Amino acid sequence: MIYLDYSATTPLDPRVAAKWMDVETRVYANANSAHALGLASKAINDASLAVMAGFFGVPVESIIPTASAVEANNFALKGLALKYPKKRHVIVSALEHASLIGAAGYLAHQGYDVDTLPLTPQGLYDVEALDTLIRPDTLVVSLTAVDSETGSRQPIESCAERCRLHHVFFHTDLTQLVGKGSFDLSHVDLATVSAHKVYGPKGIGLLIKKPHVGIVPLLHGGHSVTPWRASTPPNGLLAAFAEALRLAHDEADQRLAIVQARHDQVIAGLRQQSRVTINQASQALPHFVNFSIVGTRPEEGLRYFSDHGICFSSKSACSGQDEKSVSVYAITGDEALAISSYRLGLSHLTTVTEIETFLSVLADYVGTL
Amino acid sequence: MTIIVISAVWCHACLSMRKTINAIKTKHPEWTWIEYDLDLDEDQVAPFKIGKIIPVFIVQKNNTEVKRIVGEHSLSALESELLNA
Repeated sequence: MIYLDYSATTPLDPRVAAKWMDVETRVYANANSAHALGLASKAINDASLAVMAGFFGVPVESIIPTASAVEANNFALKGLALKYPKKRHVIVSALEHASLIGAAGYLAHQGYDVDTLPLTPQGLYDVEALDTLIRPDTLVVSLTAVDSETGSRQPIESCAERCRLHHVFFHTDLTQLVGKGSFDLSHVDLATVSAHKVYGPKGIGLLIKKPHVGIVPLLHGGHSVTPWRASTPPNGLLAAFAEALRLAHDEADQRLAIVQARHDQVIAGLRQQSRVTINQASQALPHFVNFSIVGTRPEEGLRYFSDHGICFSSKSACSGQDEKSVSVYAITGDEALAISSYRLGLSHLTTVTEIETFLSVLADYVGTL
Repeated sequence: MTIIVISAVWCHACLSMRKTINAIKTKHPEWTWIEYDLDLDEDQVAPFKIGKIIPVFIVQKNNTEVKRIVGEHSLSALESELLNA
């Protein structure tokens, strides 16, 4: 099987797996225990948290480990809502992950107003629109850093700066950006991260919360890794996540160069297919390739590729009228393209041969239409 | 007239229509609304045999479906569809 769906999840790096296994089998004591083994666990965990804080350029007390990015997104919105109950307005974008929309949707059912920040014709956030959308009772603006369909790197730094001027909290979902590109969290109040998108294990994420941000915990039960979320400290997962981030940092240039080469190879091949339209977004990360085959239904196309040993995705499962991709429609203005789009997720692990095979199967598929 | 709304909490199109639904509810208190969650109310949703697109608005009169409105609509468009049901 050829895997071209690295934006959905990544395989565990064997070096990360080794770290996980080493810590979990050797330094297994509960880090909240006062005995020597517990203290050893706490020291390991503190070192992991320090690596994470360094990677994101935030104080170590800003790092709140969670079980997933889904939890972190829910924690950010619901935790703020519980802390500031008089603020009843939230701003999101149409590009958010289902977990962020789910948390906002939950608040909407509780009577909150939720507005959507519009996109420009380039598919980027309309930063200036924040000035008219933000209200005195706005609780938080929550915007993903990367469109997970087209890979467009969104101007979150500008949005965060704008929110700071309005004294409104800014939360961003960094899940699709970590390990793929740089960012500046100077004006960001809260951020969501996931380990499994960066060759770390599934089962751990982070909510980054700057010290000045108040929030109510969703999981009560006493001080654990932090006072903000109760649970037995997952020593191995923390160490593994820290190792995955360290590798992402140390190998960033090397990985990006490979991904860019594979991206260029895919694009060159797609351009040879007359039935294929490349949906090129502004500021797109090379890890994403979005294209449409007009006249095809993505679920049928994906089945053909899967039957021929190639796995990738189309747009997100939830959609509005005509099942069109909000992202693709924003940058193309073409409904036919927006209902027939596909997404490749590339990695430094992707090989030249894999891309060649994909392009060959694509040519066969187009030939069947 | 009864309007059955089938949506999902994770769906942006459903979320963006929340304000529209609330506005129409306020404007037309004579209509009865029943809301089902696609995931949590499977038993109630199944008989309606909806497709892949949500939200879905099923308009009933005397317990009989007279109109089905699918997908995201503006306030004026949805209200017009309902008034003409």
